[in-house]
Amino acid sequence: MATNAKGERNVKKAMAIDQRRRQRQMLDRQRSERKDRVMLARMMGGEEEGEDERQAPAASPEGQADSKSKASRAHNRKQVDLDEDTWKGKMMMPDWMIEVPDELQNKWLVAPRPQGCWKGHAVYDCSADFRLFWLQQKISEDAAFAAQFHEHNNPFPLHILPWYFCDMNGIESAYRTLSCPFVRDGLQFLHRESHYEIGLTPLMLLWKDMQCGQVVCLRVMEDGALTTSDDPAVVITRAPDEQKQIIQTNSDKLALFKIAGISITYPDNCNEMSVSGPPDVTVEAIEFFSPAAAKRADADSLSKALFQQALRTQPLSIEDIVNTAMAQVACCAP
Amino acid sequence: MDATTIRQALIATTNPDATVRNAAEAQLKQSFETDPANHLFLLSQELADESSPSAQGRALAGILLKNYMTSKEHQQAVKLANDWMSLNPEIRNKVKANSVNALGSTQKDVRLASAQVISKIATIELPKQQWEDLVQALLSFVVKPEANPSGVAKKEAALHTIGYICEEIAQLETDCLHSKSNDILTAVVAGMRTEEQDLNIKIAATQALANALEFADRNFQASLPNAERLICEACTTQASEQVRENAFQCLGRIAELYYDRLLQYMQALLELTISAISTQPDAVARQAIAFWIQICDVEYDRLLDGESGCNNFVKGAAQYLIPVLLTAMAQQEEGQDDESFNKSTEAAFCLASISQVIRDEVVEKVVPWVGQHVRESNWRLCEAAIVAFGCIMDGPDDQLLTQAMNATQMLDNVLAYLKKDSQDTEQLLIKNSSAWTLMRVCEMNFNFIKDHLEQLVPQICMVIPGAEPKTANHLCWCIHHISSNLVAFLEDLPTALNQFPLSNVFVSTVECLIATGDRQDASEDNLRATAYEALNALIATANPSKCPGATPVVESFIVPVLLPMLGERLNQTFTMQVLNADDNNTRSEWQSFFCGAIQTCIGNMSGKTDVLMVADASGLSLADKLMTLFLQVFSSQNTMAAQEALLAVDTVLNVLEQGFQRYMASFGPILVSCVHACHDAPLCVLAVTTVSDLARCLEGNVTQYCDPLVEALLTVFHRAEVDADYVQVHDYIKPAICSSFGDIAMAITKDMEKYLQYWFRALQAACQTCLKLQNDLAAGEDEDMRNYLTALTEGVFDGYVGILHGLKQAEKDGTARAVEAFFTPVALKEGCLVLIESMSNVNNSTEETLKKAVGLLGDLGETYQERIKPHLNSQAIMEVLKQASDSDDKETKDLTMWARKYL
Repeated sequence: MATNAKGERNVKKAMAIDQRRRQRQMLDRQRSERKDRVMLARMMGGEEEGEDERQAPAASPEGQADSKSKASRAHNRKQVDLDEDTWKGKMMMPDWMIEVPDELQNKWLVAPRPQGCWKGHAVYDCSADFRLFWLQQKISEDAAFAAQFHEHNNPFPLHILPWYFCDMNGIESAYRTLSCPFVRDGLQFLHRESHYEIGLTPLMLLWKDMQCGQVVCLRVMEDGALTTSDDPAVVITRAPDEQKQIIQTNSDKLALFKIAGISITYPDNCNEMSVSGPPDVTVEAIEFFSPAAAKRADADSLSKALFQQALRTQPLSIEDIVNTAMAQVACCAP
Repeated sequence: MDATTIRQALIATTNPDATVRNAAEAQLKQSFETDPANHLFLLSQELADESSPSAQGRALAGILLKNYMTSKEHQQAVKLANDWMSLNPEIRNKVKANSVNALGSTQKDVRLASAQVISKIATIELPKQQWEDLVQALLSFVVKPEANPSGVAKKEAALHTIGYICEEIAQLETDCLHSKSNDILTAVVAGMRTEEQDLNIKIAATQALANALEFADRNFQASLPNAERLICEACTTQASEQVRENAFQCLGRIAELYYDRLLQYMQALLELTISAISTQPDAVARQAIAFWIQICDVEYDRLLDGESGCNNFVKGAAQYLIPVLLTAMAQQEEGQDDESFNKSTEAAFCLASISQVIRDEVVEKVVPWVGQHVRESNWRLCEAAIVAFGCIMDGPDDQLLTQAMNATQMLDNVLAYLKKDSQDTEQLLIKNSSAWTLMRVCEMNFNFIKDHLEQLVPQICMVIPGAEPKTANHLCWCIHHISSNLVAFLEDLPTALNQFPLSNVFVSTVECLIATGDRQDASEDNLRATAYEALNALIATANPSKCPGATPVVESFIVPVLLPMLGERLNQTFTMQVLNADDNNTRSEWQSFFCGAIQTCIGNMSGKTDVLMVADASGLSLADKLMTLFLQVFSSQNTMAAQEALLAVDTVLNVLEQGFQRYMASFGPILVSCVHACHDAPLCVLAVTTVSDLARCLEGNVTQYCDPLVEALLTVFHRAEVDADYVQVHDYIKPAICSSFGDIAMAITKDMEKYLQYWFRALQAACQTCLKLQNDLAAGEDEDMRNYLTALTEGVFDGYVGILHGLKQAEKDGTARAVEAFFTPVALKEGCLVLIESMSNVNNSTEETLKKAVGLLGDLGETYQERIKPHLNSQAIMEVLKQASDSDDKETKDLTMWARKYL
């Protein structure tokens, strides 16, 4: 609707073409990318004093490098360049849920997990958000909080995941939610007590129901040892000499393997949550599958192999998780 | 030069013989250049001389005088004002006295010219507390006129002068008339008294009042009832249409300025305006409608801001007002078009405004009328019905609209009118209105049409070729809106849509828009630009990352057909015949359209970048070929084309990242020259932004190209005009440069050392500029300046933060003690901390600048730990942190909690 210089009006007066629109888009994009980069830098720094921080077993979320976000690609390049130790424990690298943890309902949050390549959701973007997210003194019940990240006029496709408390409703909501901007592919669980401290790596678990990939990504060491990304790295097995020739890797010495029948024993009687030394792993059969994708920068965690194993033998279903959570509450109830 | 010569020269400037005219103009020019003071004095003397034989010459003297006082160009106006004030006060007084004398001339042209001269001088002098007796003198002419023709003439001219002065002073946002505003209003209102018999005086008084209302709002409160009564009386006065028009205009100003006090008058005003809309001549009726548009504006803003204090006048008046407006809408002029401004267009505008305010309630008041008349054979009613439907698209809930009226049927009606092939003027208007209404549907009520896109879009495309340019323009906008709404719709979906809703019509629609750009008459009504912007919007829908179903469109059409075609057409522009400036502009226009469209195509191709990189038989990739073309565009020296080319290059850069390096040898120098182009601010800003992108995409590899770029950035940063122009320029050069320092620093880390001292000095200077702006703003609010301050402050923090993180990275990479470079007075105590501390005054911070300040504090604390604490424990910094903690913005709060850990 246009008004001329004399203040006269005609609703039909042709609209002005907004020829500056693309320029503004460019500036807006740059602003948000700049902000993300600084957030990344802040995340990467600042933990020197954190002696209490527990180095999480690192598993690179699958296919992150395929993300369309510049930030993520920058991250991947950096990840290749940097000494691994600078990175470990500073990114949020999830473990796989093999057993339902204790106090699920009281101590954990749950969110749907985006399918495949995180669909444009840069890993560190999410983590950057998580960082801020952890800082909240209290986490409000999801709706209002999630809503503010879902506004469609948000120019940058940076969506925080809708987190729910791990009660029956929360798990159900996360499992069946339609309100997230991506295809759900499993769930992720976040330990609530890690919210208060930046630098303390939180506990995070992944869970999928049906189709977990059949292959595990491992690093092929000079001596033929095949290791995980855990810290310290766990040697799954050593490639038999006759297989060494056929194992091709990407530039980060990573390759994909199919593993059948895996079992582990821990060196002392500590549980999985506080591993102090590498466990002993016994593998029944391992088969080279293919070199890892060029952009793949890190191996999977041991827990992924274990999760696959569990999926084949005694899968953990969504009902199991809900029931366990309920049972935990029932036994805690006054 | 003397009085006689100047009189003759003035008269000669109106001579039909060009030789005489030009000689006279040259003579006057020379007179001014030889002795400006004397020249101005002579002009004023001629203006005031009743014995002069030529009133035309005298009026011209006045206009020349006025032109020496003011200019539409801001800088020139400032210069002229300074020139005037630097004249000898004695001369100035003589010029002023002559001008005031001329107010009593028997010649109306002379009186009006002198009114203008006086108002311009007053605009310069009153804010400087000079010529303070002027207003009193003017008021006495109004209140105590001499009882003779000259007295009456003076009274009228004084009212005009007061009106002009009020209008100018109101724009200056100074309160120099504050103490006199009551007297002014009293005088002006006196000119409107019932007893006042002279119509010209009434006209002048109502006009002056409309202007006086602008600045006198606080003082007017007391006299409002009296003025209100007089205005209403003037609205109905039988004698003069001009008085009534002016009086309704005053009502419009009152609606805007005194909305809160209108309750008791509203019933009377409603009756007055409704009667005027139905019975008064067009000009008066339009002002009566404008009163309601003004009320709608106020109520819309208040409802939008959730601000309480909406009196719901529109809601109450709608049932009486809307029928009158619909009738007025059906009183179109013969030959009306999109450029017409008359009672019916004003009424349509008012209906659209009402719809935005009362929303759902408008539906039942309009839709039945539309249904009744949309198939009417009377073209006026039919056209009004179609427009009325378009007017209520913005406001009501779309479900409600769909229910209230059979939406499909309405669309069918509109489409049927569009397809009618008649050249009757009335039918063409109906066709045009149908196109406009369809555009409003596409823009505001996408839900109406989203399930029928594959039927609707081809129908639109079918009509475009035979439609008049104005109508075709609306139809291109239909495609534009459909496309933008589709993009938003796809983005909002919880899961990506596998089927692309435009699959079957995409290619034909692209072809239609390109053909529209090629029409012989495409330069009329901006049709070509509209078509290409619609094309860009359309291309943007085919984004496989938002809609996997669009992949085939990209792979089988955009990449193999459209991109090469656009490239070839861009290539052809270089062989276009360019004989003159017009040809060059036409060519540049085409170049910007093609660059824009290519840029949009590439922007959709994230994830498919290999398509750009694969070399063909000639050994060149698509990116190579396109880059060659883009670089050639820069040679045509046209700013618009260069901007589009730069955007296109930036898109390629963002897609190829490191792969872009192969073009740096040829693109680098062009980029440097674009940075230097600070006289062309938008281009310069784009260039600086591209430097930032270059740093981010090439990372450490950008180092080798940095020297000339950094040098250009610093040179431009320190050029005076970059500061002087900021108010006019909405694209900000300096803020972009400050940010770019940070971006470069984060990319080149240890290699920034040689630039560092220059960067710190520049940022320090920018901090000082921020403080100065804060200071200026404390003296008087200015929106442009405020926005610039925010942008500059953000840019400065971007710069510091980027440098600090770049240094930290350098230290991590093995450069010992790299971060020490920041721990210096120039960067801290005399740099960023000065700016942060200034923000303890809440007037100097915004949410965004606060975030950046707190982020930087956190970074400093985290980097330097205990060492920095003594520098950060000032009261001012504590205030800033407290402000940030108290913020309602979650991100700000979280950042502050993070930062406090280190402080």
